[in-house]
Amino acid sequence: MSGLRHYNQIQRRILLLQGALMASVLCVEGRLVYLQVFKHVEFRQLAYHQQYTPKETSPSRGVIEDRSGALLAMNIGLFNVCAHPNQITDKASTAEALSRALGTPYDEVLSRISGDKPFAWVARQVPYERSRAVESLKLQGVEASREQRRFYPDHEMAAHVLGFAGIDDQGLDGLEREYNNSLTGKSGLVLTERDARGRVVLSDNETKMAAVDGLNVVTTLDKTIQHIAQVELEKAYQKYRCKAASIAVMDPRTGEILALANCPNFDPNHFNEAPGEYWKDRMVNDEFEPGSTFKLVAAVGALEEGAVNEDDRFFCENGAYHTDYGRVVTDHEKYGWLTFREIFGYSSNIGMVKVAAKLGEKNLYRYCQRFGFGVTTGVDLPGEVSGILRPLDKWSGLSMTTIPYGYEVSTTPIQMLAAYAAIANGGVLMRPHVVKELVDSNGKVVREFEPQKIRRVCSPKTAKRITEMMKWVVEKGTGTAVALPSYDIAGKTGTAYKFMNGRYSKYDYVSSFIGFVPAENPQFAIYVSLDDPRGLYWGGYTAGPVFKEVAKRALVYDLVPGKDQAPAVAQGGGRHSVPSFKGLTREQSRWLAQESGLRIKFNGPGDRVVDQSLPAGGKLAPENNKPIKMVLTLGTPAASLAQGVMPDLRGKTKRQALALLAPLGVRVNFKGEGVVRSQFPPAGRTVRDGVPCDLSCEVPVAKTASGGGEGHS
Amino acid sequence: MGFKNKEQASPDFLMFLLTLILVTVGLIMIYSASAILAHDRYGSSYYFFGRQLLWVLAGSAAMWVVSRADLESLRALAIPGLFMALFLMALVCVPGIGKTVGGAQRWFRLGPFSFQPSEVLKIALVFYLADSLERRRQTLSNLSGLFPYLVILGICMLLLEKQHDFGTAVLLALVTILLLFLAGIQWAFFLIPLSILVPVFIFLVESASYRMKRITAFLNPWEDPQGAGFQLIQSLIAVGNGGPLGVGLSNSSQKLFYLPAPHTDFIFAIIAEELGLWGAGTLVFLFAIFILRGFKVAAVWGQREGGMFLSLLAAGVTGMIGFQTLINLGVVTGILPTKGIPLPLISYGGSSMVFTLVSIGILFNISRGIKMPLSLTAGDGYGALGAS
Repeated sequence: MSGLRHYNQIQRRILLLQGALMASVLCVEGRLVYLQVFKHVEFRQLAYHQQYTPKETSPSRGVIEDRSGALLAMNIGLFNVCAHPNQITDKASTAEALSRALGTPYDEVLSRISGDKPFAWVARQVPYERSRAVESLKLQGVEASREQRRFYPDHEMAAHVLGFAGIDDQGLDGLEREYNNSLTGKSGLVLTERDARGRVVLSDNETKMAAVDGLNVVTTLDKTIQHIAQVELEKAYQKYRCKAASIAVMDPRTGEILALANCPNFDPNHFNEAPGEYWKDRMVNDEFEPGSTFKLVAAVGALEEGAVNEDDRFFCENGAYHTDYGRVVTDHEKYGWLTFREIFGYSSNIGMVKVAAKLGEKNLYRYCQRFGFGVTTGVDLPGEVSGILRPLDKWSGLSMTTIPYGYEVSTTPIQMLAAYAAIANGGVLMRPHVVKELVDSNGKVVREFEPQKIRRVCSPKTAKRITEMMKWVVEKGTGTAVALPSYDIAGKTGTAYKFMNGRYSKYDYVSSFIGFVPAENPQFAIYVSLDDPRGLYWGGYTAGPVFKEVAKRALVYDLVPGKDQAPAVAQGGGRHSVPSFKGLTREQSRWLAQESGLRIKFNGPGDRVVDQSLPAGGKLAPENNKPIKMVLTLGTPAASLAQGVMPDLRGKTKRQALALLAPLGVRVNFKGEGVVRSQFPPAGRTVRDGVPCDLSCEVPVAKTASGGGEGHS
Repeated sequence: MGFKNKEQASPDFLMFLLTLILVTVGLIMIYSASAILAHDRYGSSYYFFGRQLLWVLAGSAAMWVVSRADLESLRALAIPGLFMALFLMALVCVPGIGKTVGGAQRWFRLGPFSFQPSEVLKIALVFYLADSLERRRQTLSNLSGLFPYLVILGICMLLLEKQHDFGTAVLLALVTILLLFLAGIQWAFFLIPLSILVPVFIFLVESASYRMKRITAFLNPWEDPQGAGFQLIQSLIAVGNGGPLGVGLSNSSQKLFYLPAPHTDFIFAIIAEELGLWGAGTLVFLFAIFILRGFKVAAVWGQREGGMFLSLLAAGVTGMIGFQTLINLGVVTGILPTKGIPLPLISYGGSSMVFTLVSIGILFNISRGIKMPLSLTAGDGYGALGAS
């Protein structure tokens, strides 16, 4: 009996146990549901965070190019070797292998990779071969990485335009700073799965976001003209032992800056080694009283308003003009009666004060404003200053005896250049700019900077008349040292006393020459100023020759026909005919189009131009300010179609060479700048489509203008 | 005693099937969880898997032998067996004889294999308790009747304390209480083992700082995420990361050295991560069915005249496996403080596998010849012995 009760008790107690068991099991199951369903997202994130280490991938900084695609600022790869000491199990053998691969002493390597740190540099900025050697060792816990550094291949070339970027690729000055956002790009994110020991798990890396490379900045600069300008400025800067010097070359029709340089100059690769004031771009960051070159404003106003004619005569007081307010205006030479043309040409301050009196102060102020003085030009360079033009109600009684010849106002060189360029451009003031377009890494134009008209300053007729007066300056006036035999130059000299320590110095001058060339069909507006030249100081004799040399060499380089030469015709010559694009690559087409002032659009697949919407050799209207648009059809040309004989390309410019080679379909590789020196294949050899053709070029030594013209006509 | 055709009758098929499934799942998951670790440490991703396979084969042989032994005649060995086990337990603590792994000296080294005497002790203790409680069941109504068991349990716990094996100590205490309970002691008597166990428990916890740490870590693992809470956090991350459907077999990322012991004590976390709630939940239910079935066997014998020894033996063995399972699952899912208890039949570990299989062999043996409907609870469908 007791047994039965007993058995029942066991049974009851086992049932109880089983119940407790089921309750526990349900607890566990409930806990699983809680963790795996309700907390799943949270834990997945925790797992993700500890397993995937996000790593920023840095984008390549955009390059800076000149107008034809030559690199002005680029990136070079530097190689680093780093280690994760906590992952290195055999330090001795790792150190030995590294030491052999890097050529670093064993002890040094060992000390760097010892310990249990997660990260240590083994070697920084090593040559590529060394980093490759390390990579090929495939050592546990050792990585070779690559970083980029900004490099300016031409060192001082256009340093003030380019500016420079710092160690972390941040733009600090110049275009590097102005266009920093575009150049920088967006960094990407790579998530790498790692195990708890920090080693990369050999599964596919989950790339979250690819880095977007920065945009390439295509400038309006022309490397050849920049080179010419810079060399000539440097020569004068040395010769006259100046404090500073500036030059800029602009296309007056578009406002495009073709060249810009300052002295003292610096190498942006080592910008830290130059004193800070060397970085200053005096063309836009400096303001000073311009002196005689400012006479342009009153002169334009006087002609435009009909206040004065070129042949009106004024008495120039024999060099000392006692004005109503007791101030004496002086001239550098004693003049008696002069015509307005002579006043401008000989740069008489007294005469100019009298001309301005006829114009009236209201009008003078209005023309100052029209030319854009007192406000920034809006050039796309950092730190532009506005200069000072006092509002009319703040003018003193003396103002009308100083402002007409460029005192009591301060201007920036770029403002002065823009003002003269406006005359060259038929009276329309263009906004100076340095950047032509922003192009992404695939070559797609993201943003294009069209020439921007600021305002009309005067009528085309007045512009013409003032141009003639400026030509007279060079022919007979203060600028005779500037004259070129085969080109007419229109310009104005300036010699400004510097205002120092509260008074005008008798010894410190800024000599300048501003003008454009050829006077009839201006291609270049050029500004040259020399700060405090020793020896000769008159603008016409110091800054003038710089202008002359730069103008001459630029005209030759650009194949601008001289006075007595026939205008350029088809077959790739001149700016005014449509070149043949057939057989060119996209890149070559873009280059050629830029040179020819054409706006092109590509159509269709393929990598060679097979057709163009405007026939080759067709005329382009020369005065047309707006670029002509044309469509290039891309395709793959039939292989055997193009075949021909290599022409003699020596002495031809790049553009001419391209035009001549286009029908042959050869792949053209240029080396160097300037005109073709040597070629391969040689002239006369039969070539066919796709054959590479190497042309080495050289900047021609400056010949006389007519010599340059001959090669062309 | 003396059921004639017991030898011919086959063991409980359901339990056999569950054992087969669990061992197979275990082998697969050991490979999945340890392949990278094995490759990293031994150069072969099959290192742990291969060894475990050998242990499974050895354990299966032992299981087969045990399942055919005459358990009633083995009762004579209950007391010597217990003393033998206690002797081994003492021996392993002797410096130079026992092998120390992870700061705990609990292994004998036999050639390439090591073996844990506490596994022997588990079976020996259960065998001894079943035998002794059946013989002395009349004395259990007196408090003095409980005394020898408490002494023996105390000795066991002291030896385990020496080996820092707190988990097994808790386990043995639980099984002892379970068997005392089933043997029919009064409810009120439970106050006695409790009144002893609670101070012992507190002493054990306070005598070793790492235990205290483990316990506080369990309450709030994020308080010290790099230290005491690390293992639990990594375990919870694995379980939670698995989600409802899991990241897929072999795709666990927590086994990449984040979770310590991914193929041993924390293998269930990897299972939960790779197979998700679906797989892990099913596995828990398989264990539950197995344990319920074990208790069912105990219940069937318990109602029979003279079946109390086998009943207690079956319940003890089932309880041993069941408590281990629950403690392991509780630890991995953060319900219980961290203890070094493997998941029976699944976790990597030779001694554990062999002695679990031996335990199951005992269950098979006891279940042999019982005709049980596929019910699990003790109350319904009274099973009949094979003779009927």
